[in-house]
Amino acid sequence: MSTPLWRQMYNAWEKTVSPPLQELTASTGFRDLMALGLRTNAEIAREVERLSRQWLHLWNLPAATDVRKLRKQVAGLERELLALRLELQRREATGASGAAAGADRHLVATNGNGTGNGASHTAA
Amino acid sequence: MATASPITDPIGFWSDQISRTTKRSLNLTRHLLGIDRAKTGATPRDPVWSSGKATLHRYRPDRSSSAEPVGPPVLLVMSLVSRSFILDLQPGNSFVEHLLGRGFDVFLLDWGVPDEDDAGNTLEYYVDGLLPQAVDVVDRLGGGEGVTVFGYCYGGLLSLLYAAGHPDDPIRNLVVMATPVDFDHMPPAMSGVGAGGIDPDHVIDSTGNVPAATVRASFALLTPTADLTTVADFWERLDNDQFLTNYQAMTSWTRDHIPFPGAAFKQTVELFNDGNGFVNDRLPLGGRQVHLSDITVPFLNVIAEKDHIVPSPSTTPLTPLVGSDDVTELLLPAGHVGLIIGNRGRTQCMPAMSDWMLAHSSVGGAEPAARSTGATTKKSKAAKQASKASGRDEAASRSASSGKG
Repeated sequence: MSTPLWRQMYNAWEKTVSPPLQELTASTGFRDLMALGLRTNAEIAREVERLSRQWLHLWNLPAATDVRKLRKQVAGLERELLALRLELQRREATGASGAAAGADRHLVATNGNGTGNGASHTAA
Repeated sequence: MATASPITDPIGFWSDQISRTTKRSLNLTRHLLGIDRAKTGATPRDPVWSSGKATLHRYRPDRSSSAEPVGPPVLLVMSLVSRSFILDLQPGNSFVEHLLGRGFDVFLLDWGVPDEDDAGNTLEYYVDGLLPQAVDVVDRLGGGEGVTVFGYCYGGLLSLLYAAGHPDDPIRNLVVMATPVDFDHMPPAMSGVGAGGIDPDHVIDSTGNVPAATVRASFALLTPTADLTTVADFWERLDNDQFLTNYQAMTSWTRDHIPFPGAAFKQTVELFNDGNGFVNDRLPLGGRQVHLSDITVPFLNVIAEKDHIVPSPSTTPLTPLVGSDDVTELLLPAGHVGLIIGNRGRTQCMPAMSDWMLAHSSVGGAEPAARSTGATTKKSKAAKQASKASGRDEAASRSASSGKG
């Protein structure tokens, strides 16, 4: 079946437009523009969040950020629990000798701020 | 199919036009109303383990296959930013189905969809926490003959870090597919975060994760006209039932990304975009350094030649970095997803990968993981032969033993 005329026109347009568009989106100028857009967006969101939180706190109501903070703490505890469980399993598997060897590893505690936490084993 | 001419055969022409228009209208209605949509992830499976949002699934064996059971079991490790059903897209167009058909016992580790509870999930959470447990479960259920770990895209990165950080775990073989390691060769839309470019904190939303829409936008930026071309394809081939089914299955995957846990995202930017950690052997994980040279199990690096998301120059440097004696590199003529779906995936790419896996497995019974130099050298030859045999016309198999034995 022959290609319809509209498709032939689209293909020709796409062939012309696509390479410069790809070049544009790959350029440092575009990246800088995106960085600026994302920063502005983040700052606006932060400001809106701050104002709404202050308003809600004024009436002694919890804001979404308060709930989020609590959920983060619970999630952090769960991760810590997982790390402890893994360490326990490892010690059980290695037995008495493993317990001695296990002294060179310790668990990183969960700090709950969303970074650098988790079920991590660390070699001292 | 030749179209009738409106001048020489007006009846045939108009009858063809009416028939096509009717079919298009019916298919458009079916599509818009969501009637009889393509089934994705349809291969029967059972959850065998879960932790947090992660679930380990075991696929039921293919009873219609005449292939003998093959060990060790295969654990498919999915990326953190996309849905896992791409590995089991549709009946007849599924990597899982292909592996089952060749006799493998197939498991899939699905990370689930993260929400704000998962914002603090670090790479260690996945690599040191969940993956070792999943591998242990697969090993036990598979009869204790080890596990072939198979990572796709970002799942390959996690698999590499896991294999490097846990060399004593029961990994029998390691396969990574379309896995980037040289971030200097990643497209700017992927590598533009960090390193003086976009601040990672500005990409993360109030939930603490990179939103799914941002993940999707970053992929869309790689080929800005792709979405429009997809719509044009849809409109042009709407009268084709098979096309519509494939279109629905594929778009349900490409348009449905999942959030990237914020902590893992920031760590990824620090490790790879800022320091190009894999190439420079700087991979801090959980307070220790892990090294790809500590990976000593048989290793297969699958590279998609026409990959625009993970270009081949970002994947090829991996092969010599791994410490195994038995290392194979498969360069396949497909795109990022074409490796595991479509005609080329089915006829060339999937057989090439499963041939390598078969050559590194044992038919019927369990066999302890062989890691001695002699055994791996022998296996390496077999793998090369399997790769050559399955390479057929276009699949270029390049053995990359590169002085490693």
